[in-house]
Amino acid sequence: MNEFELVVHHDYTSGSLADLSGHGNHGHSATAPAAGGMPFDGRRTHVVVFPSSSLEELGGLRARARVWADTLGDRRTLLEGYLAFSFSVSPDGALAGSVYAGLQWHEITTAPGTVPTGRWADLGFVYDGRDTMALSVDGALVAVRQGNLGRVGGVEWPYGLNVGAWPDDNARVFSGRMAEVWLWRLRG
Amino acid sequence: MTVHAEGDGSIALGGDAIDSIFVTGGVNQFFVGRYERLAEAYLSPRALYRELRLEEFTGRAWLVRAVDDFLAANERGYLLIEAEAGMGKTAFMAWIARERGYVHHFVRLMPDADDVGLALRNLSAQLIRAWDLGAMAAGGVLPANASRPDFFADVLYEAADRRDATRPGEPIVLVVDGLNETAALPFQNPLALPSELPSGVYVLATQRTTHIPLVLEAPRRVLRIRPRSPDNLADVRAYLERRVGAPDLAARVAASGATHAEVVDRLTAWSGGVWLVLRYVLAELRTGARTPREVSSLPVGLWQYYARFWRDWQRSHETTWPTVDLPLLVTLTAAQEPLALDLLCELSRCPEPGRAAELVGDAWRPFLQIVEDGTRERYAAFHDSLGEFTAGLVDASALSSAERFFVGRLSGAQREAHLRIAGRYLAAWGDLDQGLPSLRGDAASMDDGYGLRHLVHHLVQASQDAVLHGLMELEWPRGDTDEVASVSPAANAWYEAHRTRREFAGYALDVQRAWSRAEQVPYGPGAPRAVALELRYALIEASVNSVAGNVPSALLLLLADHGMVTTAQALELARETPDARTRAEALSTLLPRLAGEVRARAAREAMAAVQLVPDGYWRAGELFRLAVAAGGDHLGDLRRVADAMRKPYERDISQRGLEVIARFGALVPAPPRETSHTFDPVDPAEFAEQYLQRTRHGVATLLLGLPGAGTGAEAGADPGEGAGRRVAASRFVRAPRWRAELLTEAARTAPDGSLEDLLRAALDISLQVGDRDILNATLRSVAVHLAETGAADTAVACAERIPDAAWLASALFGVAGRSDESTAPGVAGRALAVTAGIDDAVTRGRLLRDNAAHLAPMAADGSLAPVLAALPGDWHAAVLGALAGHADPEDRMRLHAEALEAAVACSGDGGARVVADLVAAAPPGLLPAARRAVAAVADTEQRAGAAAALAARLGGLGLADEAGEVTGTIHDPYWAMRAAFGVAAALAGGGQAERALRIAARLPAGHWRAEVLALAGRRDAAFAVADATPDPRERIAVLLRIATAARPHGYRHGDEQGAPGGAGDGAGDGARDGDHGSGDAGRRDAVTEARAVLAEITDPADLAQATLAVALAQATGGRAAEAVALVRTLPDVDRAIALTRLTPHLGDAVADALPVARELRDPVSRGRVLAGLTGPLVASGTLDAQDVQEHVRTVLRLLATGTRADLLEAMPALMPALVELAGPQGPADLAAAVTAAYRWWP
Repeated sequence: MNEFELVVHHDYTSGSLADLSGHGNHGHSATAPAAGGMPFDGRRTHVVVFPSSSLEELGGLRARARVWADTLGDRRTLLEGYLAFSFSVSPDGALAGSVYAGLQWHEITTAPGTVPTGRWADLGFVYDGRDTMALSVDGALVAVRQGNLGRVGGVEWPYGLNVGAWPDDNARVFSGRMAEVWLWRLRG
Repeated sequence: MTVHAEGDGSIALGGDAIDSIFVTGGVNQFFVGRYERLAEAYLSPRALYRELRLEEFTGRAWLVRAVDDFLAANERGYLLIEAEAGMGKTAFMAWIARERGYVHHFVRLMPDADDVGLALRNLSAQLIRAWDLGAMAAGGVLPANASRPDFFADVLYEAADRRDATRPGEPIVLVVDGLNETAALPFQNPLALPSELPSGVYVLATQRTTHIPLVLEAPRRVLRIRPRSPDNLADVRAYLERRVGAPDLAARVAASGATHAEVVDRLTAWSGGVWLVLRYVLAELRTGARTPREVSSLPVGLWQYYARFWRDWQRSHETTWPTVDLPLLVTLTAAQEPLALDLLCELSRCPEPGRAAELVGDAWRPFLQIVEDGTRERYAAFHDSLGEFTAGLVDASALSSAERFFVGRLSGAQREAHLRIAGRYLAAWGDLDQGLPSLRGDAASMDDGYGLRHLVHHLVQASQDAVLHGLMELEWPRGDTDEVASVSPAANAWYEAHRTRREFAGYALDVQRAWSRAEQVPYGPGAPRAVALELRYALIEASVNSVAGNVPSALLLLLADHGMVTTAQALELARETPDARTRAEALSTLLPRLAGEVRARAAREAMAAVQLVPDGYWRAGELFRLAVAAGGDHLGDLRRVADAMRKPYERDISQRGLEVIARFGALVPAPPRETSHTFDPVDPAEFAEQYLQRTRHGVATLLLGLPGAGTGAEAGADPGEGAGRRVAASRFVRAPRWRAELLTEAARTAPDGSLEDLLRAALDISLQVGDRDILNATLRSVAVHLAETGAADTAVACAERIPDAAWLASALFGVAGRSDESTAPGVAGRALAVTAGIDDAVTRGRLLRDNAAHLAPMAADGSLAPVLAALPGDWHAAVLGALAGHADPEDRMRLHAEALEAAVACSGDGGARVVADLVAAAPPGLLPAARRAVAAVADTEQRAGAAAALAARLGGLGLADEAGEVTGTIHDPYWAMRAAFGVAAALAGGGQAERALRIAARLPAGHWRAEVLALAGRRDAAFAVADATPDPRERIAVLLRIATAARPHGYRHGDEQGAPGGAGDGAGDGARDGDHGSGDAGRRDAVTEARAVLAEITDPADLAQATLAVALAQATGGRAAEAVALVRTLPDVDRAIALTRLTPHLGDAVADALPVARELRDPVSRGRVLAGLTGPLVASGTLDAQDVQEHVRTVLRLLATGTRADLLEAMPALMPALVELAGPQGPADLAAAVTAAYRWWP
């Protein structure tokens, strides 16, 4: 059995925020997606997925996003599950992922300048719920960290899973477009 | 006993004073706290001092020296003065407290001796005032948590700090009189006195010579006052020298013909050193009721004195004894507080009030304490010993048989008095079997609320257990009421009567009393019923703890502004909010609607709430909100709160912001910014604006989920829809608090016609406990456990209590799986029918997939087919695949093939997900089809995941080439890496070492390479990987992977923390057969090395996680005792988590884990872990049946201090013990208790 189970899949290029994973984790936003993807203005745009049974007890996770970054200069959120995990681009262009385990955030990050701007990029973050974190860009592994962190909890109320923004407020907002995002959780 | 004292007197306290003290006693809210002013919290002993005639206090120099010696010899500690009744303990404590200005608490002044919160608030109030700890009681008001032991401990330490800073060397002494008069709560010292004390802090306490469960870590000394000790007798003599020579006695002595010295000698000898009898007999001598010469003929000793006095009284008042004197005496001593004469006469059914007045006003006066209450007097026994005498709680060996007979009759009469008093209230309220209808009205407060306060005590004393528990379980259906909020389908009557009068503390104490009564049933035939009651009381307590009261501040304003609640009601709802930040917000928000003293008090309460906000950022935000709302009032106190902020940024921004508010009355608006949130802004106005925005952001986020609010899947709904639809639409939010917030916001834009409905719905929801899913899960566990015991019918009945269909179906499937062949098909059929009725297709699909093992009969009889047909294609395929896993070999291939075909036929993610699952378990004959299915997945990401699963499957079958081909199709780096590792591990485990090592060499992560190396028998190379890993966290990960490889079946995903092996692997991870290791590698033990590497980790968070991983590795490797020892080194929070994770692997080490669990400081964590240990403890036979009962009692007591969710989540683990104690009835009783609690507090 595949160890990960897809729980969120949004294809914004279809013009919809609907979840394609079969788990009903639809997106909600005040901004509409377009054929060119979901536009993020770097200030307020965000897509919210509310907590659901499939987002409880992630255990581990794999997040992937196909994005076009216009500008960096601030921390830019790709996906963040409130009190569960974060996947973002640092101001210097480093790709970063972190998980909240044992009442503490644990991070993996790449070298600066890893995330390109002005073109489409395929960014991935995985934590296997045991001892491995990894980041990838355009099909290449760019960072691996090993360390026993234990299981990741669930996405919490009220902010839920946010695409393109820090859940707590209008901050750390992505600047550019996103075509597709995926989130897997660990089974069992 | 309540002592009311008014006036301007003051009590000196450590150089300071409390002025103008008004002791109110009475109501206090145990659960939500009461914001008492310091003076209100103080229990003044001035009336007690008068009763004790401290002006006559004599002697005790030796006792004072002993106190001073203890203070001098110990840096801190408890000095316990122990003596029998009537030895003058209280008089000494009162005297020394008054003389030296010590902080003091007299248990006899408590309206209820078991109200620990009252004692803690009394002591805290004095310490705060004496040591000027204004920050602990902003605005002179105790915070809501002042009833908690941890608050009191904080006050003690703050006082010690202040003392060190201002008057170093001065001892802080707490005088506590009467420890034996109060019952300690489980796991606490009497009055929750701390076991540890700060330096220079002492507790001087008195108690009888009975066992008091006082657990102390501070130094302790016990000082015994022995009646006939020379020191005590010398004090008695000195006292008598003064008293006998006083004018009122001197004449009597002279008239008797005895000399002063003779009388002193005679009384000294006769008293035997017992002071209380002197009080009585001197009163007799003063009135002439007894002559000095008669004294020598009196018996020696307190009990003997009582016996002689009251027997003489009976003989000399034969006509009035049975009708007036005896009933009045036992009523006086049975009553729980001083009562006015008319009520005493009522309760004792006295036919001659005139005679009763004579008795209490004259002849019995020495035995009474008289409390002046305006123009009336109220009466109680002067000393507890009289009540103990009439209750028969005396040393019978000191009495003659005639006296024992007399005492026996007295105690019988007192039990009748308790019964009579209880009966009075039950009758007045309309009788228990009629549901106490009058308890709903004003009659509940009859006799100034005496019945409401003390009925339970009288029922306990009258041994009316059935009535007692019936009262506590009495249920009222919800009728048409004008209550602000009534969210439950039924009410617990006794709770409701207290709730409407804000008598939460009284209700809590009654629960404790009834619960304690149930606990007094020893192990034996009565145990099952007792356990059932204890479960019920635990759930009641936890439920009341959990009543949310999370009414959003915006809702309060809207309710008030639309006339749906009064401002006073809105304020009450705000006060009930348990979360400090939310309460602060609610109170601050209401301030503009309030005026006068009500406003001032609410501001003080808001300040107290602000102080309790744990996080500095949120505290600063609420500080600004309150400062602006208060409009410049209370700035001094607010500045103190700001000054106490710990983080420099939060302190600085708070201080500067308050200065702006002080000047302008508000924060000057910040200029607009590019983004609406910056971190740690410099401008206080920007901070405040961002803070307010952030608190609103959660609600704004949720609003996106309402139809028409965003552009999500539900977009396009009619924005003008009705309230009902909006309420229904809000159900995507499950937490009551957030649903209430969401509906409140929705109400703002709702049409007028639906606004009130929305507001009422929001209010109702905000008052719910909101743990429905946990309730469902608990009942499911109970049902399944019942089925395991063979009680299938009871199990089904329990399952049918589950309110939600998905949980009901899951429970029924679970029951079917544990039932015999005759029962299982019927139960499974019912489960299938319930499943078929569920709207959500995913839920239906998941239920069928997860319970495929029970579907064979329905597949055979055709009843499954229509349910399957109604599923979406991907779930249809998933269920077929699951059915294949449970099918006979001949059907397995067919079903798997059908499933694969159905999954491939589905477009989209769902089908691909099922393909990945199916290929991971594909039978060898279906591998070509599996490869085709994977290749057919359109989505590259999904295809990669499925290919990784297939590659691992091929590797596991030893098909290295095929596995390599499939791996080569994967372009995603993570999936490729996972696939390569999976294949390499499988090949290594299957004996193709060289092939595996070639693949492993390309793996980018050292821990994976090491595991494959170890699996291939290259332990030296594997350890070399570890040795070359500098980061200790990463090295531990490598070592634990090596340990994983040592177990028989290698790595299985889902193993927690990389825990290797299983119980029975044997110690260590020594080389396996065929090991190619050489030299040291063959003897190296990866888990032991990982344990050693922990010492190199410096970050506490990393260390905790790594320690847990190593401990799990130890436990699953058969070294559970070592794991427990390691876990013991963790901080409390991490230790609790670790113990929970270790529990399934403990084996015989459960006995080692038990004391570690008992050391956990947090009671809920301790309860949770102990509950988890229940199964292993029962299974191991570590506990006998009586121990099991004690274990259950301990767990229930601990968990009931938390929320109902805490309790319910632990219940499944407790089930083996319930079955052990009561058979299937145990879990069934639990289900009934859970259902009732949910009905009363949904």
